[in-house]
Amino acid sequence: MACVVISDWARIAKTTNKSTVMGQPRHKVVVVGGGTAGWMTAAAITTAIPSTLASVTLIESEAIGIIGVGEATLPHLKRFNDNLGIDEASFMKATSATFKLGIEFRNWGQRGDAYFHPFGDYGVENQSIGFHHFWRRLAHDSEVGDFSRYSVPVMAAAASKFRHPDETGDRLANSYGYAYQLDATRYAPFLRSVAEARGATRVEGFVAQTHRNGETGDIESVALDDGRVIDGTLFVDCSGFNGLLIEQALQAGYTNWQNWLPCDRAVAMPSESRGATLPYTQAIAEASGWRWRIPLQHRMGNGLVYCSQFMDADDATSCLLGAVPEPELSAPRQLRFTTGKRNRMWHHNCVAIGLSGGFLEPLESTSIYLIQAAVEQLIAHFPLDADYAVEREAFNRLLDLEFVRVRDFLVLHYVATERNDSEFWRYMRHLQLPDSLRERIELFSHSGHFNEYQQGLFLRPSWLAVMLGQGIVPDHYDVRVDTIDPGQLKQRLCELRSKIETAVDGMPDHDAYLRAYCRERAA
Amino acid sequence: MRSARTRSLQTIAIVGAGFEGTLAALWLGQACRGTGIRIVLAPCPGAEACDFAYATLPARPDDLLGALGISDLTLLQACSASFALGVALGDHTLPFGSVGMDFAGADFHHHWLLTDRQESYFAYSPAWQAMQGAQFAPPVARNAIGSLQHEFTRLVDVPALVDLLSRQFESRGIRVTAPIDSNQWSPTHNAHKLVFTDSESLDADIVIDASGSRSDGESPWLHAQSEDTVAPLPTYKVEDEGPAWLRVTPLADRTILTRFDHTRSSASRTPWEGNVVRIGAAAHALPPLLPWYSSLLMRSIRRLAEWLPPSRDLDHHRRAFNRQFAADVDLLASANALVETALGRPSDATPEAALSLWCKRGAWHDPDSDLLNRWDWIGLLMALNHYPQNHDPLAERLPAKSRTQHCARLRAEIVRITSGFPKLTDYLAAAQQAGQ
Repeated sequence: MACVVISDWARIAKTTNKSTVMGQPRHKVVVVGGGTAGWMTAAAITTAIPSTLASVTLIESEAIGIIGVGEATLPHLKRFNDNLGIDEASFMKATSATFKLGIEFRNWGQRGDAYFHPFGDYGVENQSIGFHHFWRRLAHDSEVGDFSRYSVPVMAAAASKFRHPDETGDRLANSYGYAYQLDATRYAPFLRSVAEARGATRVEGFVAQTHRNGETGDIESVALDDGRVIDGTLFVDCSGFNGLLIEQALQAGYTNWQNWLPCDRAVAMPSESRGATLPYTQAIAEASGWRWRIPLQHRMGNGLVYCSQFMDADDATSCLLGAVPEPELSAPRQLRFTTGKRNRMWHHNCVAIGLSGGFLEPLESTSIYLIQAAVEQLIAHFPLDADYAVEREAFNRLLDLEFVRVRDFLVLHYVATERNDSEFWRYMRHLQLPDSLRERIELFSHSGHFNEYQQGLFLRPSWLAVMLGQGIVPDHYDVRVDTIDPGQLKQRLCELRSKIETAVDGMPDHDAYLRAYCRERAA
Repeated sequence: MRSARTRSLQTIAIVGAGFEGTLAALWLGQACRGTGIRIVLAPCPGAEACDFAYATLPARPDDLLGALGISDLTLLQACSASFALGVALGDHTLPFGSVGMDFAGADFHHHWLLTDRQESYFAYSPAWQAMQGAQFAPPVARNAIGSLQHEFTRLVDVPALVDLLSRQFESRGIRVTAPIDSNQWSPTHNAHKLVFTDSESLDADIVIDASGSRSDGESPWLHAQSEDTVAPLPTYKVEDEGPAWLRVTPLADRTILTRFDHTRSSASRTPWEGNVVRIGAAAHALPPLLPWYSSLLMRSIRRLAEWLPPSRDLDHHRRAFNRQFAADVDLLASANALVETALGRPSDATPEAALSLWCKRGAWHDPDSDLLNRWDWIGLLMALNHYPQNHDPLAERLPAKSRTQHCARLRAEIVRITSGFPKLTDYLAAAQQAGQ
């Protein structure tokens, strides 16, 4: 996966003496909504932006619950936390987090199959030829085995093992990243303490009204239901699906992507945790959607994403209840969503971050990542003065690209399938694909090549995992692979597999490692 | 798992035996060695006309020469080669390689904007520092200032280089035919039956058009001439000479003066049509102002080799190749436009939105092509005096004293390291001597 380059905010924060800052900041940032998106925004701004430039006020109401999206995350979150100066073990303890090496997908290509999308690459590239081309040449040979056997994180996950990758260690053995599976309802309060310690002001209340400038159309202030008025120069809408500011006040518009991603409902329910905690998330395809299993330290997160066109809420709840083997900890909770994105995530002086900016179903754990991407881009384009049209355009362009590329990757899961066992899957199989995705699939199917891009979350290893995992096997391989003797190639693949197995054998059990890490380090 | 399908690609014909065609033949020959794919090179009248554009060959990012086993020493001995650490674009100087080092989370240029600017921005460039003393040394893998590295561009006598490359044809199994019969070869890009002047013919699965000429006749080439050089400097120059751009390329033993029309700078969006792939000057008519001009050719060739279609079904590869080429060529056109505008000839291809963001706050976003990386862009923008009006707020949070100390240490280290570089003339002489 690609890394967004951002700055080491925390290191800078330590060198800042806020007490010397005089006068009023140039921007009064008002964050509306205090869930994960709101507190990620507040923590990042108070850490990265000098207090001479911005003050942060966050409005939230305890009466409004946190949706708590994104219990499963991507490796980028570690960098976000690092930049805030957050100690990993303390964070994991506070959010009951577990380590995550990737996602296991079951029943997607066809019923009964399984593959793993790891946070890491496969094999070793040689002479700028991707490893999968070498594998493809001999893939028919049973001794060469499944592609997934050439990935350290896949093999480690299968054995429920984990340790932190060592950047100074053997390259192949440490060729993986990791993410967290966390209790999202605890992440926001955790970040709140960070943000408030760095100067963010929290206001308890509910936004009842928005006041706009009659001339510019910008938001000037918001009025709370108790009559208080909070004014600001830059507003961040983290109010959730409703888009209290970005849509209800500014009518930024919404691009609906349900034609490509038609699932529009979810039912979520935590259950007890039984047995060892797995270092990976599970995404299990069901008749009219898919089900997640996210192992946390103290419980299991469960949910079913489904398409209301093919399944009603009662059936969805029954499906979920029937599939969860552990006792439930609370009643199933229904959620509605419309897949898509705000036409302009930064409109006038309002930036929509989180669910107010857009929503892509959490199949690849992108919910918190998309919040993070928006926050990081807001930091990178933070207005330096009152005229920031240039920054706004750049922000919108970059976020549009981010959303579109994630969307294509999600759609791939639904269309690379041979499933034909329900109305839903028959519908998905005949979906009209976005051109960008169709061309990508065709090129890979033919020759194993990719149209590479520099920007975007999911890069070649991710596409490989899903395409090969769901049965898109290239007809051909890179012609240059023929320059290598097949016997030698087989020997090399065998050695590679052996090295990976040795590396995984040496890893500790995830559960034991996790408990020791949180106990010892957090202490 | 089913077996991969049998490959049906058999013959690749390259039309044009100038620098572009010769390099393509050798690179594809290397990539296909042992695969059974035939590489055939068919000379074509006039293909050499654009060779002089490639007198500046950057060592990065797509150095095919090195990968072909052609060392700098070989270039020195056979091609009168010299080295440039930067290019003078009119009154502006662009040193190659990194400038300063990021620290405390903000790019170096933001910190520089916060200094008193007693030292110029490029005073923190090892290449610029070495240029001041007409010195040169190749970069080493890791020096005392870590990732701060200079880069360089090779300056070569292209006809001599083509001659050098041609000697490898036999060992790489490349067959050179009689010149192509221009009356028989269809420019519609659909026919792949090639007929040569000796009446022989060939069926090619893919034809690579390295003929150096555009079907629309648009070409920026005027002519090149050479004159004596007293002592080569580690830089080359581009100037506006009224009716033409003049590029002055100092080789080891003479200077090449190249002139090209500045009114022509178009490019194809679809260099691969049918089974014909146009590369180099057959695909675009951008003037070779910047070293990445050569990278564009090398990148096309590398991509062809990496993406050789395994069958005669070319659609998918064609689309992908064209998309990547368009991204690259847009990037080079944008970079050229910045130079052209700075030299007094405003261009429509100026990347206005990106430039506005840069000028306002010194932020530059990497596009989808990495023909020029982020540091290349920042160097070019600063060289052309596009100084941002504002710095990144992150930089402001570092104490001024730390910034001053960091910059002073960096500067001292650059001076110390580059002071050990020999004069370019001494370096060239020593290298020549070492090779004898």
